[in-house]
Amino acid sequence: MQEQPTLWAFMQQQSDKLLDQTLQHIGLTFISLLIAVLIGLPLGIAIARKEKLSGVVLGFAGILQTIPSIALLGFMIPLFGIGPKPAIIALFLYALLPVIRNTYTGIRGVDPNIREAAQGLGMSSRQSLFKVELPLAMPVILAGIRTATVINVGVATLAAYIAAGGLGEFIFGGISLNNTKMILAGAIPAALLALLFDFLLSRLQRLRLKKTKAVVLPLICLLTLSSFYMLPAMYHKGLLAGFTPEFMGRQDGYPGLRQYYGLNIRTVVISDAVMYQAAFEKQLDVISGYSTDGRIKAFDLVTLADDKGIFPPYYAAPIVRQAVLDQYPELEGTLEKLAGQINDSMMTELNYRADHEHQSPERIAADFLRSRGLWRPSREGHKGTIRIGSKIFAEQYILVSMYSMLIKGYTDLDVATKTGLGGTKICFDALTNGQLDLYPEYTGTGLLVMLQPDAKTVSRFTANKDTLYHFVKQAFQQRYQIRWLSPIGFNNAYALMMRREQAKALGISRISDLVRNLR
Amino acid sequence: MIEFNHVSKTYHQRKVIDDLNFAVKEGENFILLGTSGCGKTTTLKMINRLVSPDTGTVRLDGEDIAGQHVEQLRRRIGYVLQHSSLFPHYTVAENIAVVPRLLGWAKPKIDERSRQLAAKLRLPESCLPGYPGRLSGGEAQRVNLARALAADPPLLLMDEPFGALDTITRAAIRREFLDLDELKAKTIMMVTHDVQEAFELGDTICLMDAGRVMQTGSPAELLFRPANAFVRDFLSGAYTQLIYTVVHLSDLWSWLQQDSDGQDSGNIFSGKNTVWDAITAVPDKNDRTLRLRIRHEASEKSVSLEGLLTALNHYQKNR
Repeated sequence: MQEQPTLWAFMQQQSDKLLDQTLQHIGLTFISLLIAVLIGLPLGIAIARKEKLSGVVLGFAGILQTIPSIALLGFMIPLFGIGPKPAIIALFLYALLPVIRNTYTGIRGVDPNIREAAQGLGMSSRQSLFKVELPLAMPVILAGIRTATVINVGVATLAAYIAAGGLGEFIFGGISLNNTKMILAGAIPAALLALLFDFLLSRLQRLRLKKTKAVVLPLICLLTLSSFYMLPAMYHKGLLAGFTPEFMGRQDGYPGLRQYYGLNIRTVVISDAVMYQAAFEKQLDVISGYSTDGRIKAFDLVTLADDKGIFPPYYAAPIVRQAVLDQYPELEGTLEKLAGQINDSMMTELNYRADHEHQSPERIAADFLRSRGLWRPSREGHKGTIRIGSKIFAEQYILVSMYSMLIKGYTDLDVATKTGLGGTKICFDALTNGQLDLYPEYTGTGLLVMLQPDAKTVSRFTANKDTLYHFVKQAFQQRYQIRWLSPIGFNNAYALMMRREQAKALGISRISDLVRNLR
Repeated sequence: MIEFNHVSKTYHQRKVIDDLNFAVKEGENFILLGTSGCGKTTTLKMINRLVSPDTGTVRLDGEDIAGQHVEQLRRRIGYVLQHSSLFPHYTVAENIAVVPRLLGWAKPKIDERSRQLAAKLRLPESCLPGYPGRLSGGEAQRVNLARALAADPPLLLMDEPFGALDTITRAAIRREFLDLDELKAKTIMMVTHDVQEAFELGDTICLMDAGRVMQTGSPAELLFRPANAFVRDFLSGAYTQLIYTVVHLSDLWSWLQQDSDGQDSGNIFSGKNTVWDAITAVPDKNDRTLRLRIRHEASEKSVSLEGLLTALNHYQKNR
């Protein structure tokens, strides 16, 4: 396993990134807070004066507050796309309730005698508001702003899911890479920010803000802090890349690209669910994806050639328990019928039909086998049952359908499929425990997830798909008594992708071209 | 100066003010007296339009106030609330300066006026830059009064101004209040539920019950010629004490006997003083040797406390 640096070393190493994320985080928090104050304060004042409206307004703001934050962000994507805009809107909606409610409570809480004195001495309604009621309600209003700030610092970590940046990038990267130091590198600064702002606002609350004029000061602070969001964007120009949290942290991801290609591009972290669409909508220029994903075709993207060969090959092949192969010798030949049959573009096409055209995996599988003359009707055999597993994405479903049709058509065996298993670990454990007989796996995954060799061994295999296949095959046979059958043909590796027209316009077809373009 | 003509007001189908008619003369101390909920505060607030009548008119200096600019109207009328109505976020000086600032006075003029008022109301100048939170109850009420007087309004509305003070402070402030030149020329309309206070301060008392006027008149008229059973019963509890405040020394002159020996008091009372003034001036009521010097129509008598009370007895028998 790769040696992990200490937390402090990690933070120092990533200090550039950490600073960017912290500034973005502060910016996101305070832009949304500023909008919440600009809207919530007048609204709070209005409902304090028109009691009838208060139920409706407070009720509505209260309902917004009950929407789980991740769901609220989700609702924002179809409306506002990805990036800072939907994140700021979601955060603003969260900050709204405490601001409105405390403004309302603060003004209602002003001693009625004092309000009457202001009126009785001849202050207009406006003068009474600005000279008397607002200054007296200010501690309560500031308490609301304080609550909103702390909520926003917390919720802003989720903004990383929709490419709005912030400290959530490290947190989610850390979670998907199971890297505690990375999680802490995001979580600790986020917690410190919350504590810092809470403290500063508590000081502000204690100041005697007796004149409404003094409110201008915190507003200026807010504006300054809001503008922090722009800072990272100001000193990075050019193409924008969106990478999954996992890709941001994996040695065979962005760190590898930096190390071997010297790639230095402005990045945002984004979840792979929205990544392809964002690239299509020109919100991102470069994304990290899987080379056979159907959405590449759907959104007219091109993959950039890995000319230095840093992405390890992910050739798919069925892996089968040796015991089953021994028990049913006819199985091996049947499964091998698919060997070398599907190349990258064919697999992409098949995935496209599933991902984009929503065809059933069975239909796609049957169509494909027919076109290759491999399809045979089921023999309805009962000699035994082969249990096939799949992970939870379309490509695996399609492959499993093909295998089950082949087995039923060419042997007297029956098939039970267990599809949608949550991850590599679950599939593999089921196989070693004898609960599954086979499932499609990828050479890169076999190497990095199951065998977990040291960094040197990994780099030895990234260049050549055949040596990797043989290494993995041998190691599995020895350690687990599991056979890797012949690869199906396609390589579902990590890849960088761009929009076709943009890549063409910039003359980029390899990662090296991209690096040159950025210099 | 102020006239109420058939003024009525209904809240939630309850008539809180019912056909109110009275007039307040210029320079008069006019007291609205009654139990809580009788409508006296509502009546007061109709004058500065914090409450507007449903029917009837309120005139100030002959003009219907309903047609006047409300903020300008209020800035011309001093308003003293019961308690805790000082702005806690303003200093004492800023509190006093509220109305002059609204009227756009120049700063030096405001400062001078604040200092002048502080001196008149015996507020130490050192308390001006501080916040009202540090003031004692009596001081706070003086600042309250100073705030109402700052722009020198001809009319002062006071809603239970001494209500929040303890009995001793209250009596002391009332006494000072009577002596203030600043107030002598002003028309004062005051709300109170305290009969003693009403009788001590009022030139005219308007006794109210359930939104109606029971009787309007001088303290003596109310006490000696109650218009109805309500007035009589209302005053009967404090009757003996009220007598002291309505009877003037001049009323007793013929029954006052010169006491031959004893020590004369420092101050000389006049016929215009009430019996209550004289009695409260005696520090030790058990001291039989002290003689009160009373001067009336160029003659002077020195009378002991006992002699004064005897004379009052004779006065009542012969009234």
